[in-house]
Amino acid sequence: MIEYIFGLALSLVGLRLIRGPTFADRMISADTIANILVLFIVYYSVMSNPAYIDIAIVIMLLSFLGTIAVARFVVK
Amino acid sequence: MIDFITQVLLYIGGIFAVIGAIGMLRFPDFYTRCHASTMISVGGVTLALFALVISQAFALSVHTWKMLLIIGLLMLVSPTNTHALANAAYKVGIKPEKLVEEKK
Repeated sequence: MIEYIFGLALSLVGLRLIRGPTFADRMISADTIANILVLFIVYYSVMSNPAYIDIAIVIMLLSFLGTIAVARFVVK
Repeated sequence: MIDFITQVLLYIGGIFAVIGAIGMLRFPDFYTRCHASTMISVGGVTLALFALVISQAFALSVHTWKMLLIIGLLMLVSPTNTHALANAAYKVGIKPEKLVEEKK
């Protein structure tokens, strides 16, 4: 049940990612989607196999790197 | 008891996430959407991860500490992202929708 609630939140944020007027709206939507994805992977790893939890750390750090890179690249 | 606390925290986190997502759709400009995004990340996802940590708390293994590491990194990373993006948007020139100007 809880994954449907977070899935509803993810789809609403995805709608903002599709029709966001500026680049900053799209980047902050992608960041939020990555955070919800981290929660999904941790939930799945708790339910099935705990070894999958490293994927969540890698996805979160890559999302951080991408957002900081875009924010630095746009200003120059 | 542990199951009950886990379910309650998970549903509170889900309510936070849905309210933040509705705000993400309906807020007028970028600087207010930052607020909704922080509500999803810190309010919803961190609370749900904390519920999962509580559900695994008595099996103290490496994975519980990894979940705590994820919570710490997420509370460090998410405000940094929002700050950097708001700084970049202000320097590029995105204006707020309803600008409050000072009268002289």
